[in-house]
Formats: sequence, C-alpha cells, structure tokens
Amino acid sequence: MEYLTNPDLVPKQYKAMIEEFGFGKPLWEQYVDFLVKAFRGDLGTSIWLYPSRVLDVIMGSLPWTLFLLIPSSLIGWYLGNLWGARTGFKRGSIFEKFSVVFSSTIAQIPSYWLAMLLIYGFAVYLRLLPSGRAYDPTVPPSLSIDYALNVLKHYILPFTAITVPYLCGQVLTMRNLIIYELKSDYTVFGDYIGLREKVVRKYAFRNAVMPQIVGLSIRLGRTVAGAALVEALFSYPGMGYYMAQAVSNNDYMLLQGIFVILVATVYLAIFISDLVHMIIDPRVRLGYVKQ
Amino acid sequence: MKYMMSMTIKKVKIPESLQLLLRAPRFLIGFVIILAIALFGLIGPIFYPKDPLSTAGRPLMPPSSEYPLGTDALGRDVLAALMIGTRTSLYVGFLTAAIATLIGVIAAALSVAFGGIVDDIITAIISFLLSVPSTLLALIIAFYAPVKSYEVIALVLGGTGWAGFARGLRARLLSLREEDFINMSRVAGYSTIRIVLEDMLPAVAAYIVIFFAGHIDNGMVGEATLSLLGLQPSKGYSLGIMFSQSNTYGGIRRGAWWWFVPPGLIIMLVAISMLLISTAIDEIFNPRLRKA
Repeated sequence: MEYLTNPDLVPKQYKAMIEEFGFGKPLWEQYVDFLVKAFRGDLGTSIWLYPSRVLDVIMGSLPWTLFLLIPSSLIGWYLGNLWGARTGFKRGSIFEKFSVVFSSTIAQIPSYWLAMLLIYGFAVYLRLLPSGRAYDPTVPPSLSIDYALNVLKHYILPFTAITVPYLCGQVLTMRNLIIYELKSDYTVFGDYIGLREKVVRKYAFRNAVMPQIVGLSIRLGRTVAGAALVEALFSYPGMGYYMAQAVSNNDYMLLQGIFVILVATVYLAIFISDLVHMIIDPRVRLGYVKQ
Repeated sequence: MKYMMSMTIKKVKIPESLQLLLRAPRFLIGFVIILAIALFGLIGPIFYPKDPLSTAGRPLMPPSSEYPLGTDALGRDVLAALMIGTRTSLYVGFLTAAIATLIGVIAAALSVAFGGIVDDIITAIISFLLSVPSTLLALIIAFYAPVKSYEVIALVLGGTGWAGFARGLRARLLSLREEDFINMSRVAGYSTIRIVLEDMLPAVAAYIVIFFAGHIDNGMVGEATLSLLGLQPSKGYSLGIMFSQSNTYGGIRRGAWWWFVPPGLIIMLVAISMLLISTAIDEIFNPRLRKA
C-alpha cells in the first residue's frame, strides 16, 4: 500500500502486476500457461476481485446459480409439458386456442425484460418483494427460519423471470409433438382397433415426452448462460452476475474461467442427456447392443 | 413436352401459394405490425423532429403532452430516442438474420453438394457451435472484438447463430437428393451446383424464409443482451442501450416505466409479428399442416 503515498512506486507496482498476470508474454505463451494451469485446476487470479482466485469466485457463485436454475428448469419443464400435452390433445378447442396465443406471446418475452417488469411491478410499485440480492445483509447466512424465509423472498422474482418464458416455450413444443404423434400410424391404428382414448393418449404422451426429456438436461446446461442477465439485473450472486461484472470490469481472467466452467457444464449435460436417452428409450439402448 | 408441363406447373403453383399467403390473416397481421414498426423507426423522426440527444428536459419526467413518453434520467426525450433505437435494432436484427441465413445456406449447400471431407468439416463445425450456448459464444467474441460497431455485433450474432438452421437445412437437402426430380436433373446432365441452386434451394425456400424471419428478433434480443452486459458500440443508440441505461441510471428502481417498457414492447411486437409470418408460411408450404 506504500504506493498510495509515494507516486514513484506506481510504475514498480504496475510492472509487478503485469509480471504476475503474465501480460507481458506473447499471446500464445499466455494461452499455453493458461491451459497448463487449467488442467491442474488453477484458473488464475481475478483482476476485478484481486487477489481472489477465479476458482474460488466460481465455487462461491455456482451453488446460487444451481439453486436458481435446477428448480426453475424442473418446475417449468413439468408444468409446461403437462399443459402442452393437454393443449395438444384438445386440438380445436377454445382452451387450445387460448393456450397457444397466451404461451406464444409470453414465450417471446425476453427474460431480462420480464425481470425489469417484475422488479418495477413487485419491488418498486407494490413494494412486496425485494428488488435484488439473494438475502438481506442484515440477515447473515445461518440455519434459521428467518434466513430461509429471507432467501425465499429474494428468490421468487428471479425464479419467475427465468421460469415463465421457458414454461411457455415448453407448452408450444409439447403441443406440436403431441399433434405429430396423434397423426402417426400407431395412434391411428390404436383408434381403429378400439383402444380407449386414455390409452392412446398415454402412448402418444410417452413418445412425445422423449425428446423433451433429452431437451431438459441440455437446457440445464444452457440456461446458466441464458440466466446471466436475469442474475445481473437482480444482483443475484450467481455465475451470471459475476460474468456480467467481469465483462464490465474487463476482468479477462474471471470471464475466461467462467466460460471454461460453463462449457464444461454444457458438455456434462449433453453427456448426461445421452445416457438418459439410452435409459428411457429402448430403441436407442437396443440399437447400441446390436452393433 | 416435359418442359411445357413443368412450365405450366410452375406458373400455376407460385401465384397460388402467394395468394394463399396474402389471404392468411396471420400473415397479414404480422406484416402490418412489422411494417408499422419499421415505419415508426424510419420515418417517425420526420414527423417527430426532436433531438434524441438534447438534454433540455427535466430528468425522469412522466409522459406529458410535451414529452409523449416522458424523459430519461438525463432529460432526453424517450419517444425520439425510441425511434432511433428501433431503427438501429431493426437494422442489427435484419443484418444478423441475413448473415446467419447466408452462412447457413452456404454451409448446408456445400456440405450436400460436395459430401466427403467438406461435409465432415462442416458437420464438425455445426456440432461444435450447437454444443456451446450461442449467447455465451457471442458474448466472448464480442468481448475480445477489437472494433465494436453495430455491423460487428451483427456479424458476431449471425456468425454464432446459424448452426441449428444449417443442420436442419442439410437434413432436408439430403432427403431431397433421393427424390425423383433431382435424379431426373442428374440424368439430364446438370452440374451439382446447378441442381443445388435450381432444384433444391427453391424446394426448401419456405424453410429458409421461416428461419430468416424468426432470426430477426433473435438478433434484436441478442443485441440487447450484449448491450445490457456492457458490450455496446461506442457510437449509436439502440433499444439495448435504452435497457442498459435505464438499468444503470436507476430507471427501474425509480419507477420510470416509460423508459424501459416501450423498447421491450417493440422487441416483443417484432418477435410476435415474425412468429405470425413464419407460422403462416409454414402452414401454407408444409403439406402436413395445410388444412384441406
């Protein structure tokens, strides 16, 4: 801290920093350094939050992101598919028309705009819910009911902003899948041999839900990036918030680290979705065995 | 004789589907909405000649007769800013969609026309792009981009957003390759390029148009996303900058709804109009959805 009083030390400090981050080296050398360190689990030091390590920042924010995204994806997926299937089965009804118009309108809302509207409506205008952060600083993290309620209060708005557009998108895709299945040969055949409607619907639903289940695990990997802005708008301390901060603070190290972790999550999700696909779809499973 | 027949079929077919399209209420509604928004952005400033950069007004004034959409935190007229922003955002949206469509069509056509190693390389690029979230990739590229202008933003968004479309188009072209009329062209001695350009692409034109229409609002949303994250060009004014300024200057927390609601409405209206247009096109050109 001596450099604050003695300006002669500033260039020295500057040099030391450049040296520490390796910015003086040629780009390819910096890249190789980064790769070698990354494989040993060291993603470097954050510039904005100096001297925190990037990995620590990510580890501190990842739980919040998962806490937000996993329930959001699961609930949005479940309700959306239920609603979408019902919509598909009742083709031509007023219920179907309303659902399609409603969900295709809502699905077009960018989630960050929805977040802004929610902040304005519930936090600023009605003053019902807090407008940001994951919990109030006056209620420190502990295993008490107070803290849990406080977290829940902060949770509702970002959760809604992420879940609602996803849910409505699921309604539309599920409706299309069901309509497609209801036109295919096996459902028509089922109708002809006099199967009850309920049974035919069950078959159609099982086939239609297959790609949706695979889509869910991919979604889990992808939304981390998609929810970034919502987290940033709510100052919710997840990965997305730190990503936005890294961009505005020119923190290359942190952004790099978050990018690596996010892409890793996506690949993990794709891998899991392949496994899940194999478990739920006998055609895929048996196809692998034969070869 | 055969030539004559194909001529007559062609002549009857194209106007018929166009007529159907012009009679489809969804298409008309969507078209009117997008036209209205485009006119609002393009010739709006002529009828409402106020300087969007003049900071003459009091900050954060609610809508009044003098300022139909109020003023922002710097005392600028929101309606005038909205017009300029709409124009820029539409421009970025169209440019993004055009770039993504162009890359997608070229990639799919090359991969089907040449097959072999070209196909392998293109499929590998597509798989890579599909596995990384495109917003994230666009964010990283825009972060490192040395020059930031709206054209660069459109290039980044278009260059990262074509993979799914190219994969769908490639599958469609591949299934077309087995059709009789393509085989006939091949027997007639047409070159591969000519078959792709003359026989295949017109057959998938509806799919291409649908992607283009749907991707315009993706471009607008993507531009707003990047701006909100602070990756906007240093010059110019867009809907995304309206969002990001109303966020950073406290427009939301001070309840200035007239500042951040209109840009979102515009983006949503564009998205809805494009959805209407593409469903209308899909319903007419897709035999499975066409009503008897």
